[in-house]
Amino acid sequence: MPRRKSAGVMLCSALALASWDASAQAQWKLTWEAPVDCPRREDVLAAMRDIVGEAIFRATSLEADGRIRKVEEGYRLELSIANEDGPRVRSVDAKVCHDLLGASAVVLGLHVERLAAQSESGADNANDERADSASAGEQGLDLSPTSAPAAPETDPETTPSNEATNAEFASTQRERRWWLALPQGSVVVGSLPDVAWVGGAAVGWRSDAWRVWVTGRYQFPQTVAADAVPNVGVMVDKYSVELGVSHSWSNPWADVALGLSGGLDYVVAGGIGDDVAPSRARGAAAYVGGGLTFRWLVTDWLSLAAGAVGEVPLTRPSFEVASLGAIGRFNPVHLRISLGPEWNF
Amino acid sequence: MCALTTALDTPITPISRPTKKHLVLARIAMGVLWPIGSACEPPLDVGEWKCTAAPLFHPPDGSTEIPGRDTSVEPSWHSGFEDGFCGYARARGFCYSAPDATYRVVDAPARSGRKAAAFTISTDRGKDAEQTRCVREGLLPQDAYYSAWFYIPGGTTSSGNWNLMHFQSAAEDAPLEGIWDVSLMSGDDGRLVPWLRDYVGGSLIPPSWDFEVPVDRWFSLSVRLLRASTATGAAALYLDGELVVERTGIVTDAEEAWGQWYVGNLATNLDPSDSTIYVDDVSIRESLDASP
Repeated sequence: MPRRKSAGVMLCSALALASWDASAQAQWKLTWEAPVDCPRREDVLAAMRDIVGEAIFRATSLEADGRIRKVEEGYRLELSIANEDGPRVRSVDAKVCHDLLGASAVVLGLHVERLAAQSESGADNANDERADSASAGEQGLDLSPTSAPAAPETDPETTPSNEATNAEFASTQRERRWWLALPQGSVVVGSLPDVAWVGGAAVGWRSDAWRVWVTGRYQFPQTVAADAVPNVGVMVDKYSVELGVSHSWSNPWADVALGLSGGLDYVVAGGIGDDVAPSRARGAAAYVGGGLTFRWLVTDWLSLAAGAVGEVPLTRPSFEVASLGAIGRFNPVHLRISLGPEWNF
Repeated sequence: MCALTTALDTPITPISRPTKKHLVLARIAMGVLWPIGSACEPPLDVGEWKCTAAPLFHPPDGSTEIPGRDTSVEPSWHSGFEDGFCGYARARGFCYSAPDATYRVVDAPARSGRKAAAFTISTDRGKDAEQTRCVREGLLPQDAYYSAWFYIPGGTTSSGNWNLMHFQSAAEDAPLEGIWDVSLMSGDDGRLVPWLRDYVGGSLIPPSWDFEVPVDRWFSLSVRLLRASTATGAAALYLDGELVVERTGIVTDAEEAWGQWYVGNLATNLDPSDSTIYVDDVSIRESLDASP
């Protein structure tokens, strides 16, 4: 590539730094599939850009297909790079999936540098093949080169065609999973005078960073003593159904999600105390809420979630004792703190 | 939301004739929106307070024995009506009213805490409403102070008996008989004067004209009763802790007799005829200073 043209590309990239990803995607076709706790496509591209430099990264085209899957003793990366004389496949094993980020970036980076060198000096590929192995060895990884031009070892049904658009490539790396939060324990602070204990479960659907869920909860009975007279109180418990949506920001071992939710409480209340002839009353009350959830991604299938949600009841019925009047009521806002495992399927 | 519900339930002239589908959709929308409406917050009725009254105590074993005969009244009892009339009921006491009179728990005025008792009567000849009171009964202490705080709205005069406290006693198998009264007498100038009346010795202690019962504020009346069947007993009346009148060396009642102590409102001729007296912090103590 002429130096003048290369300098022009660098200048444009500096001016359009915010749109770097979009312009990069215009030249790259990288299909990427990996478990949730593994490097993402963007991580690989960023690492490769660091290796080869901005100018080469933006000036080179590449088609590659990367897949990470769990194997018996760790994770295996299979990287298929389209070449003039056919696809070349690299297989890399690692005990920790995140280590495959460096390996994939090195393999792709060396390939890109080789293409860049070819365009300038026409050097042959043999030296680059040796460089591939040497560099991967420095990473402490088991990189098993497959002699080119070997046939790709990937499933032809899942390999996208070279004519596929970048959008189609992006869609292949989207992670869609069911998840189940069971059991989910909570404490509610500020709804009634004392802290309330809550048990429940949630089932949800995750698509990349977005989650939607349905939760069922039971708030264990709580006693509210009448303020005005002794020996009078009310026992309150409630059942809740909730719908929610959240967006998360994650790294390989944790994510933080900001969510909104709304639901219905079915309140059951009954008078207690020596001076009360009790009866039971039931009523529905709607609420909305919003809060944060922190997840520790223990494994691909298990997370530990801790959340804090502020909730606002839209209806706050009072508890009335005949001949005495209202002896208590839900407060206008309360905090629910929850903790529990989440199972990803 | 309540208004919306009402609107849906009220027939209106439709712009275009609603179909069954429209009505179903409207009902579904109401079902979803109903809980969201903050204007409608129907209370949850969780029970009924049992302390609005203190009915006559009936022994749980079904015995027809008069409870006062086997109930011991300890000189360490107090009721501020914070638990309504349950303070009386738990002590085997009771409250009663003439058919047209009422007694109830009120939030104001209250001398202490948040509750007091109100006793409303009428001396109107067309009504049967001359008395309503609460009663402690049983074997009364040998020596004790019986106290209560009263609040009497101003403007009422009495030209008959206006009684605030009443003591009765009964020897074994004998009927109850009145022994002491604390009543009010109206002076010509409209003042209310305390009056300790003695039925035991047959002597009538005159009203204490040097003292005046205040109106429109709380005041306490206390009676010390040293019971004796010989001439060693005593009775005394205190207004706001100050001795009004005292009788010593008297026979009160038989020491083994059981008795009743009434607190409330009874009158025979008031002007105006309707009267409400508020009562708080009723107590039976060993000493006057221990009264709340």
